[in-house]
Amino acid sequence: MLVSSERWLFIARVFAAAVGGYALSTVISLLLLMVLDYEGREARMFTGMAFFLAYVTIVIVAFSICSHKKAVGVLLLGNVGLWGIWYLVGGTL
Amino acid sequence: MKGGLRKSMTWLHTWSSLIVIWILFAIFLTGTTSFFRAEITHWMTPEHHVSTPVDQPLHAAVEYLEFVAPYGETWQISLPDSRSPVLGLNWQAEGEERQRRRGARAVLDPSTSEAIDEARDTAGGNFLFRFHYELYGVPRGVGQWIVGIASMLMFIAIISGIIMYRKIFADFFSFRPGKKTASWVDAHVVGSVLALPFHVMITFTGLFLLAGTLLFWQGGNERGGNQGQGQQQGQQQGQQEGQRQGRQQAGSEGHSHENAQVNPQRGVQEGKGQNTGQNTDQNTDQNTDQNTDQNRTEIRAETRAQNRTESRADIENPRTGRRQQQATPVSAQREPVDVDLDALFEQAEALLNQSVADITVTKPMTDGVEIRFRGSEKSHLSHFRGGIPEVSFNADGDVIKENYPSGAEGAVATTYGVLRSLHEGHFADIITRWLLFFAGVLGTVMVGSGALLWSQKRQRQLAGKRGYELVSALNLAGIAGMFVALGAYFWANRIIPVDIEDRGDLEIATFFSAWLLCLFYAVLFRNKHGWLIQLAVAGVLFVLLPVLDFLTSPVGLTDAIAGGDWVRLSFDLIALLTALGLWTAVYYLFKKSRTTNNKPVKSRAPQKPMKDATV
Repeated sequence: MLVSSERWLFIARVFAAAVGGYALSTVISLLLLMVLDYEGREARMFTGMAFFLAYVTIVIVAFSICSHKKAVGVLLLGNVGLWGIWYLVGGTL
Repeated sequence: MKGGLRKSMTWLHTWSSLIVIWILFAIFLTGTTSFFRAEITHWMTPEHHVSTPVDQPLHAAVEYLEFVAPYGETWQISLPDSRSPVLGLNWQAEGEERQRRRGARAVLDPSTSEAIDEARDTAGGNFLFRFHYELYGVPRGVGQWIVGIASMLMFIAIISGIIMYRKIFADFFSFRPGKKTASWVDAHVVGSVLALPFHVMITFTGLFLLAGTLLFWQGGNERGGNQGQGQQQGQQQGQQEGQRQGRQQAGSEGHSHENAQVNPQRGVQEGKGQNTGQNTDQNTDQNTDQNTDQNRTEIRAETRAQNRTESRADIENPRTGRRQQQATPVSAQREPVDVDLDALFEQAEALLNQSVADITVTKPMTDGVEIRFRGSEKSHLSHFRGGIPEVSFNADGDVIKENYPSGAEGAVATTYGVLRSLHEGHFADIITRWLLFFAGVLGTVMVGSGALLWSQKRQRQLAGKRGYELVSALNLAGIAGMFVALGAYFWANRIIPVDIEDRGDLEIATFFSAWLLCLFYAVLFRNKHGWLIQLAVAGVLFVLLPVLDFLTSPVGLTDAIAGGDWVRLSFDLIALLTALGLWTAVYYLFKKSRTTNNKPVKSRAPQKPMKDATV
């Protein structure tokens, strides 16, 4: 049972890193874009570069945390927090 | 991930790369060959081997176009360059409707001014290029998603691989041959570290070139999220690359040119020497961008008056009479307006500060002629914004339009442009191109050795288990099979009859058939000398490629050397080097199999993994 629970937690961490990491990288890119005030073509280029740098960092961090639960929690909180800020400051997708 | 950072990074490195490693190997191998896609297409179009470079290829083009499309709507001339020795011509004859076509309408050997007819239809280097970023046989978007995900996992693998190695640079200097797992670790580290900046760059830039697909929230764009600058750039690059590819693919519609008399010693030549000598000297001096604008102004001012005089005087040149005779089939009664293209060509090169790659003449031989000279592909990493430089002249030799991309733009666009140029290698001269190619080879070695390392390390513990056997079969088909497929692709190019329909598709079908065959063999017989046999087959295919080339090309070895066709000869040399690598592997595998057969059978009890083998 323990093994099974560990396995599910592990799957949750992989899922959180892949999907949660994608969402978190997106919002980080968008927030940076808002701060740096790029527009149009430059905005697309900037998000294109910032996203992948953010994503690889987040995945590395997600797998460097000792506990599965903690890793999932960090990604969840990060997403909720940053997406909350994004919508609070009037951002839209 | 209990057990510390290194352990978790080792896990991440292993699994993030393993699940897509065979796709990555194919992407890296085909992507590496794409640095020479124009050259590969040249090799795969042996009809073009007869072409040899000349100093003034423009003459042949103009003579030909004056014959086939006098007073046409437009003429387009793609000049030979270091990557392709043929002249590509397009035209819209007088009264003819504009045609949307890919590639050139005729391809000329500039040394003889003869059209090269019946060039074979080939998928060429373009197939390998497209495969490396959108695969084949799947919808483009799906292919780009697969390549994008594989690239992202590769990027994660590279970064986690750097973190997991405590002594990454110290290990780089150690090589332990004959130590099985340790040897593969060393090979993997050498392949990774030697070109580490290249691996990071090529993976990261590859990712943001696919950003338009992967980052769907950006608003959607097929390539790279770059609707503005990037799209324009992409179109221009595509146009130029297309023209080069087109030059190599055309030919079957080429017209014979028996009636056109070629006179390389055109009357204007003498005038050109005086006219542009000054410009050339000036041009030599203008090595810095700061001086370029000033120099351009001076060049324009000094040459304009001379051009006017000379181009007008040229109409009365006795040469004009000959030209009228050539134009007889369509427009015998008209007086052609002659423009000193040679002088304008020299002037354009001075203004553009680089060699001219292609020329478009609108309303040729008339008073309303407009001649546009476009530069070659970007020669500097930072030349990105505004596309390719170009300058247009009228019949009097006046500059009427000009565009000199400065490269001066915002930090983001400049960074993006530089990184993109690095990935695509358009800026690269021949030496840089070779360096990029060899860095790509090291990347391929890194991916291949990583795949083999995984199975080598787990052989004793997991042999016979389903997962391990699956990985082993995919390793064999994905690595050795890929070489067999590539070799078969090049062989198909020379063996499939020239006049067969959809020939290019058949070449591609041969590539995948050979790959599929290797996969079947790997699934069924991988333990019966699978590696030995597939590598030997690939070795045979590659070692005989130069022989096949000289047997099936209209130009023999000595003529190719004498004609300076180094593009083709380099391909043959790389084929031989690939064969050497493959046969070395075959030799070691053969030696190993003999040693294993002579040794007494050991117990298959699991062994402890090696301490140093961290992957």
